[in-house]
Amino acid sequence: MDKTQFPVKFHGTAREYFGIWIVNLLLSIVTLGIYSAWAKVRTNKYFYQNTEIGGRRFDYHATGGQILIGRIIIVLGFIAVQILALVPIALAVVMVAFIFVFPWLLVRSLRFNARVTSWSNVRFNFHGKTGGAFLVYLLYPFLVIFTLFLAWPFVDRARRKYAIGHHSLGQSRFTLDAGIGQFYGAFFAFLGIVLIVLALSLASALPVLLALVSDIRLLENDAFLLGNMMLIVQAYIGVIAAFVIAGIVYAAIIRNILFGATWIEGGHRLRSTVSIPRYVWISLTNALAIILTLGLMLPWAKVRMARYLADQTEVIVNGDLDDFIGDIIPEGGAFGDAYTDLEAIDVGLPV
Amino acid sequence: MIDAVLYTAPGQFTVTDDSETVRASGDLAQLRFETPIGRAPRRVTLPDGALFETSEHAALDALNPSRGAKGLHGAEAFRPRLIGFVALTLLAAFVVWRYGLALLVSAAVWITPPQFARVIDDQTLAVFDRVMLQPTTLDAAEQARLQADFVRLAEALAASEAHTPLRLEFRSGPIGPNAFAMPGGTVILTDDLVRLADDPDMVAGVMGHEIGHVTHRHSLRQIYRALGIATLVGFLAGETGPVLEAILLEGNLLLQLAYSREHEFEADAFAVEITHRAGFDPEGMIRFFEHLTEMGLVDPMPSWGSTHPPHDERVAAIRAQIAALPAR
Repeated sequence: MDKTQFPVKFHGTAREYFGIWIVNLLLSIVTLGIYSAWAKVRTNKYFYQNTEIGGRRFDYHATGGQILIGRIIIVLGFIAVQILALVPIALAVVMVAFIFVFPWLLVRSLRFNARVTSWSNVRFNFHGKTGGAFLVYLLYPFLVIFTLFLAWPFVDRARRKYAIGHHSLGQSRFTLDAGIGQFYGAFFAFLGIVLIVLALSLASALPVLLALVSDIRLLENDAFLLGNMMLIVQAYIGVIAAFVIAGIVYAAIIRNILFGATWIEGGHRLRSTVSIPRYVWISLTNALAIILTLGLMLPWAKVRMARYLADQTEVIVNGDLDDFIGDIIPEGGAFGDAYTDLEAIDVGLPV
Repeated sequence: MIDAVLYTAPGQFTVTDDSETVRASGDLAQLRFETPIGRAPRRVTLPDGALFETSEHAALDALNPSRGAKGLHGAEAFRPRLIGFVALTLLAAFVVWRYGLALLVSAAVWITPPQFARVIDDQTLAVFDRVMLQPTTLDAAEQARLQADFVRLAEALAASEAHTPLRLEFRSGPIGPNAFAMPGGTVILTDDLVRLADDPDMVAGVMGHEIGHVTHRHSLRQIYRALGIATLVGFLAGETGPVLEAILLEGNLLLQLAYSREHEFEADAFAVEITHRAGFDPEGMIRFFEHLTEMGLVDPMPSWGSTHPPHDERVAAIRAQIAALPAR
C-alpha cells in the first residue's frame, strides 16, 4: 500500500495562551493553589485541542476535581512519610513499602493520563502492569550501578519500550522497535557534551582545582578561597551548565529515535525530525526570555516550543487516512468517565 | 468523521449529514457543551457519545446557557484589561510570598510537637557523630563551668520563650571554631570555639545566639519554608523546562540564604538581650567577632552567597543595640 504523510499541526498562539495562563495563575494564587488543578486541565485542553493531525484534534478529559483529589492524596502521603521517617523502625517499613507503592502509583498515573487523552474522539489507554514498572524503573536502574552506568542505554530503552509499548489508541497497540546502537549514540553524545562544556568552563579554573585536590586543607585557608572566588563560582556554574545542555541534547536525540521507531497497529508509524542545534537554541532563548521578563514570556515560550515540536513531527499512514481511522477501534462502554478519583494521581508532581 | 449540520428548534436538536439524513436528534438539554477555550473548534457531545465539532463560535454561544464558563473565557481574551490581571497577579504573588508563606510556616511550626523536633536533633547528631564529629577533649571542670553558664542563660528566658527544653553538647571535629543549634533545643559547641574565647562573656554570647535560633525556631522555619516554596512553585508554574528548572533551583537557594542572614541578625539581637538579662557582658560578643577577624577567620564568600552576614555589619548592629540597653 502507498504511504501518506500527515504533518502534526499546532494552532495555538502566544496571545491566546497568555490570557488563559494569567487568569489561571491569578486564580491559583488567590485560592492558595487549589485552583491550580483546574488550571492544569484548562492548559492541557488548550494545547491538546489545538494540536491537529489530518483535520482531527486531540483532547484532554480529566476534571479539576480528579486532579485536586490526586494531589491531596500525594501531599498527605508525603507528610505521613516525613513523620514516619523519624521513627527508625517505621523508616525501614516505609522504604520497603516504597518499592511496591512507587511502581503501582506510576502505572496508575500513566493509565490515568492515557485514558483522559483522546484523538479524534477515541481515547488512549495504558495496559502496563506494576511488575513491569518495578523492573524498568527501580530494579534495572539499581543493577546498572554495577556496570558503572555503561549499560544505561539498555535501561533507558527498556523503560521506553515499557511506557510506549503498553499504550494504545482505542484498541490499536503501539510498539517500539529500536536498536540499541541509537541509544548508545545518544548516551555518548551526552557524555561528550558534558566533557566538552566542563573542559571549556573549567580550563581557567584548573590550577585552582588541582591545588584543591592535592591539598584539601586549602578549603580552610580563607585567603586562598577569597583570592580564587570568581574561578570557583565559574566552575560551579560550568558544572550545572554542562549537565543542563547535555540533557537538552539527549532529550532531542531520544525524541527522534522514539518517534522513528514507534509503530501503530496496521503498519502506521511516526517520525520526528527535531534539529539538535535548533532545539538547544529554542530551549536556551526561551529560558532567557522568561527570565528577562520576570516570567511574563512563559506562555510565548511554551507555544513556541509546542509549535516547533509539532512542525517537526508527522504521522506516516499505511494507505490513506480512512485506512488509519478504520484500523482504530474505540473501546466500548462509557470509557474514561467512570474511573475513580484515585486515578488522578500525578506522579510528575514536583513536591 | 462526517460533515454534519446541527439544527435546533426550541428545546430540540437534530443533526443531519450531507444527504440531509438525520443522524441524531433529541432533547436540547441532552447536549453537553464544553467551556470554550481560545479559538479552538468548539465541541458538543451528543447523547450517544459522538462528538460534533464546529468553529461557529457565535452560534454556539447563543445556544450554550452556561454563564460561568463564558465569564472565564471572556476574562481570558487578549484585551487591555489583561494588564490589570498581570498587575493583580504580581501583587497577589507578592502578598503570598511576603505574608501568606510566613503565615503558613508559623502555623506549621506552631503545630509541630517538641518531641518531633527532638527526634530530628537526635538523628542529625547521630549522623554528625558518625561522619564528622568526635567526642570532646575538654576536661570535666571546664565542661561543668560552661554547662552552668548555659543554665544561667536558659533560666533568664521569659516563660513565653522557654517552649523547648535546651541542652548543651560538646564535640571536637574538623569544622574549626563553630557552634550550632538544632530545632529540638540541642546546642553544640566545638572545642576549638571554647579554646578561642578568652573569657566567659564571649562564650555566653555565642550560646545566647544559638539559644536565640532555638527560641525563634529558625531551623524549623527554614525547613518548612523551603518545602512550602517548592510546593507552591510546582503547583503554580508547572513544567518549566530543564534550563529554567536549574535556575529556579539555584535562585531558591540564594533566597534561602537571604532568609538565613535575616535569622542571624535576629539571633544576635536575642543574644544581646539574654546575656544582658542573665548578668553577662553583651560586649563579649563584639570581642568575639574582633577575635575571629584578627585570626583571619572571615567568611570568604561575598555576602549574597553566604548563610551569615559579614562580621562588621553584625558588630555594628550589636553595638547599636547595646548602646540602647537600659542600665542594670
